[in-house]
Amino acid sequence: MPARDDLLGAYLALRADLIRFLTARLSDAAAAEDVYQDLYLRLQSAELPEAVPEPRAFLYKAAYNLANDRARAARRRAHRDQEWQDAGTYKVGDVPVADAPPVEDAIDARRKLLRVMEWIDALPPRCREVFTLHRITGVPHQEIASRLGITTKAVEKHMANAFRILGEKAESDTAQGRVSRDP
Amino acid sequence: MTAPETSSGPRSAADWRARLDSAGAAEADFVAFTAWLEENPAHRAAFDQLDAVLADVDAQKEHLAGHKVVRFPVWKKTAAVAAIAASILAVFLVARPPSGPGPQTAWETRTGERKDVTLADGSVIHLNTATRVSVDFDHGARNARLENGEALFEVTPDANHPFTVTAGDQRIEVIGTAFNVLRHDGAIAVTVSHGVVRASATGKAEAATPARLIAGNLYSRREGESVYAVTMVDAGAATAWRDGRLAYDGAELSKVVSDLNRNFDTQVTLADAALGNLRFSGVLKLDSAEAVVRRLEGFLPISATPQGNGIVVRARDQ
Repeated sequence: MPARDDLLGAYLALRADLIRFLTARLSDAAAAEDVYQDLYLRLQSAELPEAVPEPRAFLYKAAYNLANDRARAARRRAHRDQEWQDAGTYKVGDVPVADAPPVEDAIDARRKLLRVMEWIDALPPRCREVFTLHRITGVPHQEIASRLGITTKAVEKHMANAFRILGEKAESDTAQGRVSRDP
Repeated sequence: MTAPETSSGPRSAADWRARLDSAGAAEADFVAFTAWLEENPAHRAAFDQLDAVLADVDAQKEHLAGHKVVRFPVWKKTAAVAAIAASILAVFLVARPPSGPGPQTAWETRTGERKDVTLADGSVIHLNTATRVSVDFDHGARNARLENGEALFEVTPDANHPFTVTAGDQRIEVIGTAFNVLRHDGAIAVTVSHGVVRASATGKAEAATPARLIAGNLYSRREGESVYAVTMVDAGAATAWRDGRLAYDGAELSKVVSDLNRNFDTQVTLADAALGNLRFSGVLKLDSAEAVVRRLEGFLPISATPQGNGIVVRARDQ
């Protein structure tokens, strides 16, 4: 399995760079080590393509994805702890009960969906098309480019523009004290 | 440390995210990204903040898509429809335009009968009891008319050929996929199970902007009036009739009786209109009017007696 051998070789050679990248991304040296280890396990077990033309870029991308997942999980944990504390005032006897009634959950879920729809509605048409294809449907940049007859650079520009607008929308929601954001 | 950036290189969290999410992200990009992160702690915070927004979007993916992905070979630019759902549907669009000129067709069900009809475009209409529906697919349009009764529409998405349902002066335009329409005794009720629907009154009751309904919304209105209400319901309950059941959550007895009378020839009447305000929650199997009313007696302070061809419901003696 040459692809795996290439990758494992690059994995060891790139250790210092990957740790530096992960430390910067997570601002946590221990977490960076964890992700670097995790990456090794993934390389051992994952199904790999026949050949990986750019092993280093491949490893960076894999580390990037793992780091994003980890950061997201950490935020979710922090958010849950906060909710638990906030809800701790509901008590049955001495036991704090944090469960919201299912109806409230459903309405909250609906509100969140509506809010995300509003954000996406705010995107310019072509930008919305690209964003939806990539983020919601999971079509790769390259394929979107050939479908729409534009360059991959243009796809990237549309995506960056979409991210910027969504970020602004979310921020103004938060500023207006609308629904609190999920982690 | 200075980032090796050109003037067109990524400068913000949004730029970086777009660059690194692309398949073309190279080693040099990640090295430059590392430098950008190290440059200022605020950069990492901004990147995480954007990821939180994307997490919100990702959490709604299924709802936004609503459909499993059908890849089709040729991407055609769709008409600029403002609604986001439309742009999503365009992606899943099966290239299957409604077949050419066809005769207008109508279907109806007798009291107690239910029927499923598959249309030329693959859309399915489930007709509930005592219902009449007609369809006009002429010239590539997709128009259905609910003359009376109740029907669940499962519409094959096609952004180029909107699917419209008319019920009296009620117009419903389909952006999404499945919804239930009830027209009975001058009342209109639209319940959406999947996707997005635009509902508007026509004629005298026409309002400036149509109501945009999403899954779980119940839109209700009296015919001829422009005022409507949108509430959140369990869409599964509204379409339980497909399995020969009626499901209620705190529904007024008058509504239950009205539903029963649409389903059975044996008509149920309330001796006292005030009984109609009693609330009922539960699932009723639609076997016969007699059996259903007998079950209701177990839940509500009522007693039923046969009278002529029907059943009269009275307050139970205490």
